[in-house]
Amino acid sequence: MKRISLSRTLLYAVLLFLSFIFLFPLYLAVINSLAPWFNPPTAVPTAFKWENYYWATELIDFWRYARNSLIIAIIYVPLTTLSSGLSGFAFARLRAPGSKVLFLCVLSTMMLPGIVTQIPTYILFFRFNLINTYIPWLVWGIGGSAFYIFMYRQFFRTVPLELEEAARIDGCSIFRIYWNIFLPISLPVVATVTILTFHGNWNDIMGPFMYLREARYPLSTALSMVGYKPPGGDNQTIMQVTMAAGLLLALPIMVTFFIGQKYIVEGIVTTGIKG
Amino acid sequence: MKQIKPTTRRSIAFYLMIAPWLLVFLSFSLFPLVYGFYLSFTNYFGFNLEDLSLVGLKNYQNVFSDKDAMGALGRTFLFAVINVPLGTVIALSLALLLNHNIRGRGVFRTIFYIPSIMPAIVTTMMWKNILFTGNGGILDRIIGVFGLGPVNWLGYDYALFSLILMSSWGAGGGILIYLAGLKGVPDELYESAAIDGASYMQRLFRITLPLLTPVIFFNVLMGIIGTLQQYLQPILLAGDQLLARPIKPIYLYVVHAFQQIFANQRFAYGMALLWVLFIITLLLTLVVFKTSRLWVFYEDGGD
Amino acid sequence: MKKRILAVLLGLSMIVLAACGTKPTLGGQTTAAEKTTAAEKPDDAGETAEETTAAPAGEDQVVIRTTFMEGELSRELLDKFEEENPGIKVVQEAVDDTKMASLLATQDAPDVMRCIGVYDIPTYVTRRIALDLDEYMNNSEVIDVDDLLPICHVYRYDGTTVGKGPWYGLPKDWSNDFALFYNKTCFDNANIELPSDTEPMTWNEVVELAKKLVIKEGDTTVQYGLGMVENPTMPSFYYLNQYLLSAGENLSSDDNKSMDFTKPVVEDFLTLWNDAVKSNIGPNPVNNDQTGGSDLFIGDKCAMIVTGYWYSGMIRGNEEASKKTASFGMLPTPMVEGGTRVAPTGSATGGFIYSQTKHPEEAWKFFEWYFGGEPVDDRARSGWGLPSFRSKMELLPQNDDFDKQVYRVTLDELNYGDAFIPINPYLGTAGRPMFEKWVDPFIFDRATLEETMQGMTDDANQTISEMVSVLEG
Repeated sequence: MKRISLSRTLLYAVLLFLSFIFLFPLYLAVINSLAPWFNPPTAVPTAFKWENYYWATELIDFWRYARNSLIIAIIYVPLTTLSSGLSGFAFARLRAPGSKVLFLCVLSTMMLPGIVTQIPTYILFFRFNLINTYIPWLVWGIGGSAFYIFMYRQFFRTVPLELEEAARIDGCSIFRIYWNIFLPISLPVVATVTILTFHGNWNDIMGPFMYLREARYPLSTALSMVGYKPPGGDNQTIMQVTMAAGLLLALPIMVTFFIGQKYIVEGIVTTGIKG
Repeated sequence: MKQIKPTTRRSIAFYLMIAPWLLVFLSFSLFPLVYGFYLSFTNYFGFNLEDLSLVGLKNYQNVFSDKDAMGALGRTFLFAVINVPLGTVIALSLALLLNHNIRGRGVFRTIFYIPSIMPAIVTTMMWKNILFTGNGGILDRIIGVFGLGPVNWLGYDYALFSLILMSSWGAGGGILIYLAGLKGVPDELYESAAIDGASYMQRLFRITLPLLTPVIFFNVLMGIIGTLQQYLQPILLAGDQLLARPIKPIYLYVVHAFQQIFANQRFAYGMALLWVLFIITLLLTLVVFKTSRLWVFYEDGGD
Repeated sequence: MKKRILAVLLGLSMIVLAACGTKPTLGGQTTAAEKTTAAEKPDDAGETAEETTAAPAGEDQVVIRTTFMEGELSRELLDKFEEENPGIKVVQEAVDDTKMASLLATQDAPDVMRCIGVYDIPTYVTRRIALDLDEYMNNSEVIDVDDLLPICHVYRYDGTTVGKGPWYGLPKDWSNDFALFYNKTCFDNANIELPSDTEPMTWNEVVELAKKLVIKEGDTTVQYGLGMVENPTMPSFYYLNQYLLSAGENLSSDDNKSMDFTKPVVEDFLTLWNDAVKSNIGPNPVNNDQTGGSDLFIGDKCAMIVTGYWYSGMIRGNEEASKKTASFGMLPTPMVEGGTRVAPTGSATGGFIYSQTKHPEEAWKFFEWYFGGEPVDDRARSGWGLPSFRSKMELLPQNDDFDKQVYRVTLDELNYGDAFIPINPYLGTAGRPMFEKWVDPFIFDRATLEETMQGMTDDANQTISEMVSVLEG
């Protein structure tokens, strides 16, 4: 018994040490977001100018950009999560002529840096009047993301065959097998994909910058492209307010992660597997 | 009427299920891909789309005679060879640590995860201007405690190390996927192993890791693809504009392409550079897929 | 089956390709007059730009898109303009190098675009992106061409020489960007006399003086001698260009189709600034101090900074610096030993009108107002840059001793402000990254001076020949 408590102490010590390392830069971000304007970067707290957070929402049209971020996320995240799951299941569990070639197409879209398709995509959107609309996010959402299709595929392949076979003997259709068996036991994965999609989408700078105009920018793009300048002509970016805004931007992600991770841990349905 | 064969039924189901992806791929991705490929055979310079002329394979020949491109490719491989295993080990270890029944698990998870989701603008400032900076930067002060001299973290000798350090800090992003994977390992397996008196290490290597291989495989492959395409971090370490030029040890392949396209307006050449990378990545992926049979464990018996 | 799918994929992409194929348009330089008629033709592409803007425009309103953003063009000011010109609505749109090509590809770039006049105008004119404004400029009732300061002529280009040929734009404001500002506190810390503010130093004298101003405590440098506002203190492409101008040299051949970086003047320049790096007079990549030159200067940790008039606005506007303006002042632009005194602008940020604009008249209206109307007075009074017009000079702040000293030196500098930095239009924006690529290993002692200069020459000529073949091919 003694041995166990010792190893537990060690475990906590390691976790605390790692937490310190991982948190240190965040600490730097916070104290710099509270420093006076145009001060050089600092590693020790010099002042607590909480008004920097007020300026972060005041110097640019913060809440409009935040609303845009939310609109894009609402359009894109649920659709992608569902659609990717459907395709991921098909690629993991169903074999059909051409499925391997198509899976290679899925993989390929991840391997080509976005710059290659940026200009043709812009031309395409322009011709179909999609520039400065949120329709691309709707369509991208319906199509799902190659990354998550692949991820679902990997997870679904770990689901025991017995489960599927039992269902098939019961005469379940393939869609029902997916919906009633695979999806419920994959709740941790669904939660993971939802969180990851939301985070990637929330932090995306270049996509919205390319295909939207300023009034429809999400917060991430606005922070990088619009910038925090003092009122009245000064063209220097205020680092401290930018940091404050960056932390505000990260806040919803931290919160959703903190809440969402519970579903990853507790969402698992323990019955049925290998039972 | 004859009943539909199960294999046909499966094929129909397959195409129905991937239909959303396939339709969007055909309408939104294929044209840009084909058009981008076509541009890599022209003299496109960013402003002359109206009167392009075809130059054959010239851009592709230039890729292989461009010393900067080839040097950058070699560095990128070196970076990948270090970064991918390191990132995998870090994320997997963190996930395994967190998979214990401990107090404040959610808080620890959040702490390890946060670095990977900080906005780039914040991350860069923290690393470049506070930690890596010379003349009294934090990292210099830390190693100073151990009697080590100040180091030029962003100079020729240490820049790659610093880039890897910065990437490792963000490696916690991977824990999410590993945690989900770990939840897929049935408790019953552990319980029966515990009855058999297996130690933690035995359980780890005989049950946990084998069952996790599909997830590890996914993360490794994503790591390779992501690392080969890495360009933002080196650029941000060099300066605060997208066209800042990283120092040679961290002047990676896609950075070079980025520079050619946006600083030099050599769009066609830059696209050729990226298509070459695409082919390399594709070949690498196929190799990884082939070798995966040796170490990835699938319930359905694999391909 | 695989083949059939591939065939379907290819076929589909061909259909899309055909549907989206770019249509031929008028190549070549379009004059303002031609564009006016072109704008009246119905154009389906033109409407999309208007329909999709954030706040829909009224029935007869024309939307003018500009890349001048909030820091330089406030919404309040725009509201005023729109009130005076009910037919025009102005929309601000951030564009950078990564987005520009997409906009040009669809001929949908914003109507009035921000640019760095010195570098961008020759490049954009060569690429036929900028609209010829000669007729507008000469017939304007708002802009008096004769009242423009000589520096504004960097917005003229005839294909080979800057300052000649048609007008393509105007600076918003400008500065003698290679002048110096001093921090007297730092000079006192080092017990050094301030240099003359009427006679320019040579660059060699500046570097020598900066060395004496450095103060160290153990390993840490507590005071630097010379900083730069946004860059490390190291060889810079921009400073090379001023150096060349003062030395009376040009690296480009007469037709701009080749360049030679192996000239002795480049060697002098690189040697001087390499010495500056090695003697640690400012933050640089070798000492890896990432603190910005401006932060150091204002925090009394750097004695001099290379920058122009606009920086006086920075000092007045900075919370910390504005409390101690008495310790700051301006020194004239340094020159090359044995060269001539020049005080050129290194950027002249301003604007031009897109050659394919659908609304040249309205774009001009906005242009005329922003570069010649009320905003000019506002900018001059703010002291964030020098006005384009001689008659507006007196609007610059002249309240305290700092203002007066800076104003006095600036007026003197104006006498040397009619020379333009030599630009190779084919090299364009590729010049700076090319230069930096070779300077990095040089200052880290990984490349010799000869390798560096030869490398620059080879790279520059390769870029130039490619660009020439595109433009002439």
